[in-house]
Amino acid sequence: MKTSHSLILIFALCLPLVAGRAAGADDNWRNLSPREKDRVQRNYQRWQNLPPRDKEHLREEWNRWQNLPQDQRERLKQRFDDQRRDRRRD
Amino acid sequence: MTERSRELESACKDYEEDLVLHYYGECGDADRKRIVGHLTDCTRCRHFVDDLQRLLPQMGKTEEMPQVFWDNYYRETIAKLDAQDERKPWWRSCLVFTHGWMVPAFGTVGIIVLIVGLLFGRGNLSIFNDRSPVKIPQEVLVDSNQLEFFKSMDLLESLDRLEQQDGTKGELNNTHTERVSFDRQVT
Amino acid sequence: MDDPQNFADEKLVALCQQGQRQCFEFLVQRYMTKAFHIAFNFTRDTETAKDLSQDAFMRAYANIKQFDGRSSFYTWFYRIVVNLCLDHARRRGRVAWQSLDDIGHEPGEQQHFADSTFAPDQEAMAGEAKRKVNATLEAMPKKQRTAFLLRNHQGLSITDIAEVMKTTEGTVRVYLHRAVAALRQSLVELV
Repeated sequence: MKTSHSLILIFALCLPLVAGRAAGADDNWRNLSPREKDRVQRNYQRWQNLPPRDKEHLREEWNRWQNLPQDQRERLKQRFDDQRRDRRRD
Repeated sequence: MTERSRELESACKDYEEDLVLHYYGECGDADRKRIVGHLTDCTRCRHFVDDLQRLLPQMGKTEEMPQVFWDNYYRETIAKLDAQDERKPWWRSCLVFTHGWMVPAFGTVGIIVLIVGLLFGRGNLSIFNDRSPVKIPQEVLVDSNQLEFFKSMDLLESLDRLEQQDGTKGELNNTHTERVSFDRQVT
Repeated sequence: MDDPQNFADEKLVALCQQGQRQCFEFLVQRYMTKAFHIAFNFTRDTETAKDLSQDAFMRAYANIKQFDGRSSFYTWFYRIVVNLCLDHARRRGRVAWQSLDDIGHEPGEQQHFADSTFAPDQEAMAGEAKRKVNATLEAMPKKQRTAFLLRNHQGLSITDIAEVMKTTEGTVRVYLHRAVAALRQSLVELV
């Protein structure tokens, strides 16, 4: 009985550490809006089905995107959002 | 007759406690031999032990109760046990699994399940709101960079077109800075 | 198939702990006489002894799952009986050794000295001796009285008494000696 109590105590002490790690890692996902989550899920699913060449291309585009100046990124993103909104209205 | 008026004699002081234990048969062999040896020589102690043997059992005698008393006693006791069982709140009968070894066993199992669920599951307790049809690996969820990638994947697919429309394509060459740590483990 | 009534205490207790109430009833059968007599030794009243000893069974059954087997069942149970009796005495404010005098027992009623060989002319002496003994027991410290009753009246060994009283054997020997020494003077009236 005492061994079982000790095991439970050890697990109970470890639990906050584990939960903390899990919770902290989860913040990125939780901070996304529902629309963004939906987009991530959809894109991830598409990514899984992409051929390797397309994946490679997207990785390169991502690297390029990261290296763009901030203002240009914002500009391109704004343009992209406007076009997407227009497409939806149509 | 003489014994009726004889006062109980004190035993030898050094032997009195041992004589009481000797009367009750609680002496070791060595002590018993010593006491028996002393009793052969000491009248006072002999009388003392005789009196104990005569009187103490009298004190211990109890009235024998008739069988009907014991039958009733037993029935009453069982009835009280039944009443005690019935008095238990209804929810206590559901707690039968909380007795004995089951509490630590179930507790341990529960904690293990919780840990495994947090570590390898979605790690999100609001699963009703976030039930996603696609299982995104934990390594993606924990990496803000990858999340950003998948969030922006639509845009990346249209990046060439956007840059052309913006008139900025080709102005900046790709640098080889290692800003991005794209986790190829995703693939 | 083995008859559960013949099972050892430990086996019956284990089965009780698994929820088999009937096994506890076998323990009741086994110990009800002793439980009653211990309670009677302390209270000197039949009804009170019956209630207290039955309460001891209730308490033992309610706590049977907490019994860890470190002591024997009967010393554990006797401890419950003795504690209930001492609690009862404490609540009453006095040990009920006076109850015999209070309810005016006839000297002929052998509640204490049950020896039916007493001659009529000796009954008065026996009654007086009985009252002296009762008074001495009442005045005795409760631990000495407990040790004396368990040894002299119940026949428990000093080892078992030490277990019941949660003390050492040496201490029990001292209690026993002092109890007998205190009773010595009250055992003057002989038959």
